Formats: sequence, C-alpha cells, structure tokens
Amino acid sequence: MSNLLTQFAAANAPPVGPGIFEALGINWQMLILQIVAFIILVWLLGKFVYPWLMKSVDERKDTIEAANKAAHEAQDAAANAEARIEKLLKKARDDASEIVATAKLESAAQLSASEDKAKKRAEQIVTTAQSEIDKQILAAKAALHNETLELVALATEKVVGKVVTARIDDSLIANSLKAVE
Amino acid sequence: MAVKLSRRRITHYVADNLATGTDVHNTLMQLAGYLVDTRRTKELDVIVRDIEYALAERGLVSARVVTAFKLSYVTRQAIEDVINSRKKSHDIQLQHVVDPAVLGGLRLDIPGFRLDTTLAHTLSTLRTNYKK
Amino acid sequence: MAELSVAELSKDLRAAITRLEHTEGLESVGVVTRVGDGVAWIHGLRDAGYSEVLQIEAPSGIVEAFALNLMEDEIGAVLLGTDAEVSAGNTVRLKGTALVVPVGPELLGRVVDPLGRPLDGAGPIKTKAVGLVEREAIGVMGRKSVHEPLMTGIMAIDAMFPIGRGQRELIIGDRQTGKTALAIDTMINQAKQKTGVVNVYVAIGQKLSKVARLVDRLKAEGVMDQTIIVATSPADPASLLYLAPYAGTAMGEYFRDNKQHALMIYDDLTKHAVAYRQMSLLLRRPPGREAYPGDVFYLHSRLLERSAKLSDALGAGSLTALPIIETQAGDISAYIPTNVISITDGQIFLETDLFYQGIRPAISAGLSVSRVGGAAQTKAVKSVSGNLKLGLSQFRELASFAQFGSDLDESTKSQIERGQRLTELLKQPQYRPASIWEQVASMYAVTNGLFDRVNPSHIKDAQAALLARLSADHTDVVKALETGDKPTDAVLKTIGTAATHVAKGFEGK
Repeated sequence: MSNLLTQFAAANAPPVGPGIFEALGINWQMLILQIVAFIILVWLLGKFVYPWLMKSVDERKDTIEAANKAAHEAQDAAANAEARIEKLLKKARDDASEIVATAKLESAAQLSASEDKAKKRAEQIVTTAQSEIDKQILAAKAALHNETLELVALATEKVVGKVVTARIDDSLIANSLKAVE
Repeated sequence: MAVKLSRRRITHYVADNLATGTDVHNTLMQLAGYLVDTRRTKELDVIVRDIEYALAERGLVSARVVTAFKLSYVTRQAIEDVINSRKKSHDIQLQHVVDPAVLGGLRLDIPGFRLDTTLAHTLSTLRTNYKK
Repeated sequence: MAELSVAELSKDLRAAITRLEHTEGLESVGVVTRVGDGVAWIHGLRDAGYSEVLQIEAPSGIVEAFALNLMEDEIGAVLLGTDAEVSAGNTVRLKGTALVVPVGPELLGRVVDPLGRPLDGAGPIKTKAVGLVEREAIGVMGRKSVHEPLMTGIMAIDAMFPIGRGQRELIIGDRQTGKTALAIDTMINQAKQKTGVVNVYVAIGQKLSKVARLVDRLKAEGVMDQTIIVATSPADPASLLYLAPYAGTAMGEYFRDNKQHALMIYDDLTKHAVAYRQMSLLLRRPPGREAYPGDVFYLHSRLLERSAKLSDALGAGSLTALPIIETQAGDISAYIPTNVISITDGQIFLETDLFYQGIRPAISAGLSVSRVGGAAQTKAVKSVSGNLKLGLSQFRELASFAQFGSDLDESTKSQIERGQRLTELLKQPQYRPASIWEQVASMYAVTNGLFDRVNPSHIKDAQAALLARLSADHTDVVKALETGDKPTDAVLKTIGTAATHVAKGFEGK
C-alpha cells in the first residue's frame, strides 16, 4: 500500500529543488499523502475494525466477568450449602440423641416399673399367704366355738333330764311366769 | 254348686255361732261339709287358727300348754292370770300336754302369741342362734 | 395375725349363755302355712309392717325374711336365706326393726353379702353404726348442684362426657363390651389419684369367679383398701339380689353423710330388675309390660335418687352412681334401659362394633352424653377438649368418605386424618387410667396438629414418648397441670415444643 502511495507520490510529484525537507530527506507531499492515507486507515479501522474488535473485547470481557461472577456465586452457594448441611447434620445428630435419650428414659422407666411390679407382687404373695393363714385360724375358731356349743347343749340335756323333778319344774314355771308379769 | 266364701267370712260366721253357743254341732258340720264340697280341706288348719283368733277377740281364749310334768292347780291359775293380762277373756280353755322332751319350763300358745321358756327351747337356741 | 385364744372362746360362750337367760315374755308369733320358691306365706303376725324383718325358727336356726305382701289373711314374706331350711308349721316372730345393714369404715376392704355378712372369710365385721336398707332420698333443699369433677381416668369420658360428684351416669351396652372394665378403671383411678373417694361395688347376680378376679385385681392395684364389695351370685335367692343395691347404697350413704365422697357401681341393674320380677311374680303381684311388675320404674328411681351432692349445710359429701345396664343387640329402647336412661343424668353407650374394631373403650361419641357437662369438668381438661369433641364429630360425619382417599379436597382429607389420630388417641388399655396431666398433654398435642405427621398407627407410641419426656424433663409442667387449673401459655408452649421433638422421631414411619 505504501508502495502504491509512494508510487503515486513519485509519479505525481513535480520535481523540486532542494530545501530543508529535501535536506532532511522528507518528501512533504508524500508526507501529506501518508498522513491522508493514515487518516483514511484510521478512519477505516475506526469504522470497521475497531468496533468489531472492541465488541469482541467487550464480549470477552463480559464473558470473563460473567464467569467470574458465576464462579463467585457458585462459591457462595457452595459455602451456604455446606453451612446448611452442617446445620442439618447437627440438628439430626441432636434429634437422634434426643430420640435415643427418650428411648433410654422409656426403657429405664419400664425397667423400674417392672422392678416395682415384681416387688409389689412378692409383697402381695406374702400378704395373701398371711391372710390365708388368718382365715384358716378364724375358721378353726368358729368350728371350735360351734362344736363347744353343741357339746354344752348335749351335756346339759343329759344332766337336766335326770336332775329336774316336778317340784323344780313348778318353780321354774312360776319364775318364768313372774318374769312375764 | 257352693259359692266360694272368703276365709274371713267363714271365720266370722263360725266364731259368732261358737261364741253365742248357737247350734254348735250343726255349725261345725256345716263347716266340714262346706270345706269338703269346695275341696278346701287343705285350708282347715288355717281356718281353725282364724277361728281361734276370732274367738279370742270375743273373749273365748283357747290356750295350749306343754310342760315336762303335770301342772299343779296353783300353776294353772298363774297361767290363766297371765293369759287374762294379755287377752281380756271370760272363758279360757286350757289344753295341757305333758311332753318330757321339753325337759322343764313351759310353752304356752294362745292365738297370736307364744311364751316358750322350756329348757329344750333354750338349748335349741344355744345350738342354733349362737353358731358362728 | 389371728390367734387361737381359749380365753376369747370362753368369753364368747359365756356371753351366749348369759343372753339365754333373758326371757322375751309373750311374743307375737305367726306360723308358716306354706313355703316355696323363696317365699314363705305366714298366718298371724297381724302387727307386722311393710318390709319389716321376720324371724322364722327353722330346725337349723333362725332364717330371716321380710314382709312384702301384707294381705287380709296372710303375709307374703321373702326369705333372706334358702327356703330348704324352712317348712310349714315353723314359728315366726317379728324382729321389731326394718332391714338394716352394718355401715362404716370397718367395711372397707371387705367383701360382704347384702345383709352385711362377710364373704371373704376374714373374720366378723363389727361396726359402730347400722344403716337402713330402704331409706328416703335427700330432699331438694339438702342438695347442691354437681360442680366437682369425678375423674374416671378414661380420656374419652373425662374429655367429652365428664362426670361430677353426685351425678348418676349410666353405663349401657351389650354383653362383653367393657362396661365393668370402665367401672373398674374408675375405681382404680380414685386410688391412683388419691382422691379419697370410697368405692362401693355392688355385684348383682354376677359369677363369683368374676367377683374373685375383681377382688384380686383391686388388691393388685392397691384399691381394695378404699373399696367395699357387696356380692351376690346367680345362686343366691332373688331376695338378696333385690336387696343388694339398696344395701350397698346404705353403706355408701354413711360416707356421704359424714362429709366424704363415695362412688356406687351397680353391676348390673338389668339382673336386679329380673330378680325383682321373679319375686313379684312369686308374690302373685299382677305382671305388666314384659311381665315386670308395675313399680319397676320406682324400683330404680328410688335407688338412684339417693345418689346426690349434699349442700354445705349437710357436710357437702356426695354419692356418685354408675349404674350398669346390659342391652340385647344394642336395643337401648327396651323397657328397662329406657327407664334407667330417663332417671340418670347421662349415659355412656358402648357399641359392640367399635369394640371389635379395636376401639376400646368402645364409647359411642354420638349416643353418649353427660347432662352435667362442663360444670363438672376440670378446667385443665376443659381447655383442650373442646377441639377434640369437634374434631371427632366432624370425623364422624366424614368417616364414610375415608375410603375415597385420593378424590377428596385437602380440607376434608385433613379432617379425616385428624379424626383418625383422635380416635387412636382415645384408645386406652385396661387398668391404666390416665391422670389429669397425661390427658391434657396428650389431647393438646393431637388437637393442635403437633402429631399430624405421625402415622395414626403410631399415635399411642408418640403419646407414650411425649409423656415420658415431660415427666423426665419438665416436672414443673406436670405439677402445674396436676393442679387442674387452666394451663398457662408457657406450659402449653413447653408441651408444644416437646411434642414437636417427639413427632420428628416418628416422621416417615
């Protein structure tokens, strides 16, 4: 391109006498053309290349930023999830130990209740046996009482039948009639 | 066919006749005949008791005494006094039964009442009422 | 321990002989004209009064009877012993008194017959007082309204059909539905909660083996010391079956009149009515409906009217009655059941269907009622039971829809599930009455949805776990509830927290 430009410049340039520019080797016409060409280049770049480039860069930047953000968020979420899991686990452990504690309490209570029951039963057996003995003694007492009554009545019958005379009978009757009056 | 009469009516009829001494023999025959005719001979005991009650109300007391030995005159009088004190009566028919089984004392039965001081009864009470 | 003492024996004999010396004089006598089927017809004794005690001199001793038919020519007397000992011609005397039974604290722990004679072989009973078997009920001015609760320990009753001291609450149902079991649990609860209420259990025509089992059970539960048992078997004369509830009531009245509280259980009045019918037919009284005599209503009304809450002026004692009636095929519209229902202040109806479904106690919430209601309910229980009754009644309405599980809306489903849990909660094993705090805590947990995630089949386990937790860790809550006062918010919160923890253990099972 620059060859093209210089070619044009070379082709179109009038011959000039030597000046400062010539002394320095600067061809000001070429320079202007180059400047124009540069400006055109910059304009073209700015119009077509630069926006596309910037867009790509921006997109890339956005992507990177998004990825970064997602990464941060994922990290946070992971941290939260871990915290929640930890919390749940702790709660589950607490619950489990409570259940175990309750179960232990219940079994202890049942054991103690069984012991009490057994003790009570033993005491009851003793009391029942005692009361059975008492009942038997009472029954024996009653039987003895009745038998003695029977013997007393029998003996009295035998004796009275021989002892009572008409005179005694008369006085017995007189006494009972007096008692009635 | 004979009409069914209540015991009360039969009792009053017979008692009235016996108390006044009216036609005693016929009254008793009527009673017997009526009971046979109406097949109520099983009620005889109860009717006789009712008649005794009714007669007692009219001053004719039928009493039964059971003793182990014969009664003296004094004792008989004492018994009649006791009967009079309970039932005002002008005629006491005392039926006396000697039963050695009573051992001693007396058992006096008048309509609706009893006095039992026999030794046999005392011993029987001892045997039965004081049992455990 | 009893001892065989010759001195004591000699003393008894001497006393007997001394008494013999006393002569009665001319006594009014009658004579037995005929006897049979427990009835003696007597001629004479024109001065005899109605229900007066007569003494028949039988060869084996005195047989007592009481005059029930005073007719023109004779007296129909019902024998209080076997008629085998009595024969026609036996002399009959007037005892001079109406029928009385020994009464007093000396009877506690004893098994007696309706005449107060001991049946347990534990020696004679010497009481300081006697009570009339037939006695008039207290008048209106001597009563106070029922306001004190009588806790039965059965959640279904204490929550929905509370019984008060002085109330008459009928227990009615077919055979083998748990009627006696309810009564026994109530007695056990009086001892467990140390209420001081004296129990009088009247067994009318019950098998003696059943009475013996009952005595054993009461002794095992430590209840026998505050219980009197009046027992009659089917082998006893109908006269004793007839007298049993009146004799038992006389024993209970002693405590009522002495500023104490007593509980009467009549097991059961159906047999009582049958015995009375038998006696009345043998006494030639004209039969009425179902061959019962015309005064069969009066038979039970005069008995149950003696159960009352006395006014403060009379000592504020009470006599509560739990009569039991056995129905046939669930027919509560029969003669005797309707009679007793109209006399009592409510009924607990036990259904055979519920029993065989495993719902025990098999109390029909729809047909049971307590006419005294909330006035006799502990405040603590009252505060949690309102929702229970409502929940159950809603469940009853929707019960038939339970089979359409998946087709129902959420609200209906939740009502059904709540009802199932409530039904499970109200099941209670026999001989395990629940105290006030246990009832309040359990009902609160279920009625407030704290056990909604617990499978209904595990409700009883969850209940047990909750109660174990509360009794171990929150004794202050237990004490607060036991007072019977309305629970505070703090107490309810504690129960709620405990219930929530317990429910978690049963989730997913």
